[in-house]
Amino acid sequence: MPVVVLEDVITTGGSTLKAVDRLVQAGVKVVGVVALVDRLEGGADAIVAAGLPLVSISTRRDYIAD
Amino acid sequence: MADVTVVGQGIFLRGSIRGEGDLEIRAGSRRRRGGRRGDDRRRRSGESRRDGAPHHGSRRGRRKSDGGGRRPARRGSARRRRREGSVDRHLGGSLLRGNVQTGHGAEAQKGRAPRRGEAGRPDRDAQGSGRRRDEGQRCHAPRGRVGRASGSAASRRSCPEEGRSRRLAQTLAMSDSRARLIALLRDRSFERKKVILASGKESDFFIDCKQTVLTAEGHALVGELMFEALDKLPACRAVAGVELGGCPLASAVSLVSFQKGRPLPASTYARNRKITVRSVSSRATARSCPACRSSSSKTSSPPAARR
Repeated sequence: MPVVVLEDVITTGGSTLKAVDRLVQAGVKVVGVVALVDRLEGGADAIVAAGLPLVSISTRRDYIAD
Repeated sequence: MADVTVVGQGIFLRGSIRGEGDLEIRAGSRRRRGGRRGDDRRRRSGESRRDGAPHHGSRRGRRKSDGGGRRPARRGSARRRRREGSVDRHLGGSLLRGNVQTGHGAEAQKGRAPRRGEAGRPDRDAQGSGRRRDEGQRCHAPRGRVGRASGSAASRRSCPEEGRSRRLAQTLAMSDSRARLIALLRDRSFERKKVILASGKESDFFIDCKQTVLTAEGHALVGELMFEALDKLPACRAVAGVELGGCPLASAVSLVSFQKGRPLPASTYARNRKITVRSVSSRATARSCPACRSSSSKTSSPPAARR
């Protein structure tokens, strides 16, 4: 069954990918990730590199003007 | 000519059908609501009209552009007529004019001929567009409800094409929701300070989404925005939240998905614990969600699938 994983914060993407791995091992088809906040610390790239499309509702730039 | 009266849903309309199926609907009683009042097109064209009954049998005053309807007689000075506003300006006191045989017609909206099926289309958008609901309804309602003569002519004129305005309303609603959610996150969850993240890295800001997501408004906004975000991803049949932060997210999205008629069950799981197949399998979700029961069978086209 195709499932989308929801995350509150994405930093490096490590823990998201770990969770996705667990789901895939359990036989779940993960088709994408939606995150509430992307800290812009490489997480988005890591998730996309793993072949998962990612949509972030907001990013660091919405809170801090760099 | 035959007189027709339309009564129902708080609407009282009077009108007439003339030879060849030309239909004209007026609002309320003839005395109170136009019916005999002016028409700017006639005025513009310089065509003068003797006061009195509509001319039966004559083809005079008939225009193809408005579906062949006939205008009623007018009364009063041009200045007074100009003051009248509302629907009288557009179709000479008529709310609807058209031909029952050809299906062509025009509502009281600058004499524009609506597309086929447009007049009766239900206002679906107003239901789903959340905080922009008021604008949406103001924009679409007059087309669906012929009898609403009280809306201002200005608001009707500013209404663009229905499809375009619906998309615009949706986009505005989304950006509005997003702005509001970010304002909430800034206010309740965000803090500018040095923190050590779970990954061991240092960051210059702290954010605790839970403080926002568990407010009533934050919960609703998160559900709405994340549900809309799913449209940008491949079709899914369930949402999964990673414990602990993802659990309220999955709950909110699942709730909104049901309200929007595309139920997506939620499942939550721990990041590091081994996941049992049962907790997220289609059988488990099918049991908990009646709407998904049919889609978990071995049919090739799952009805609960999104898009």
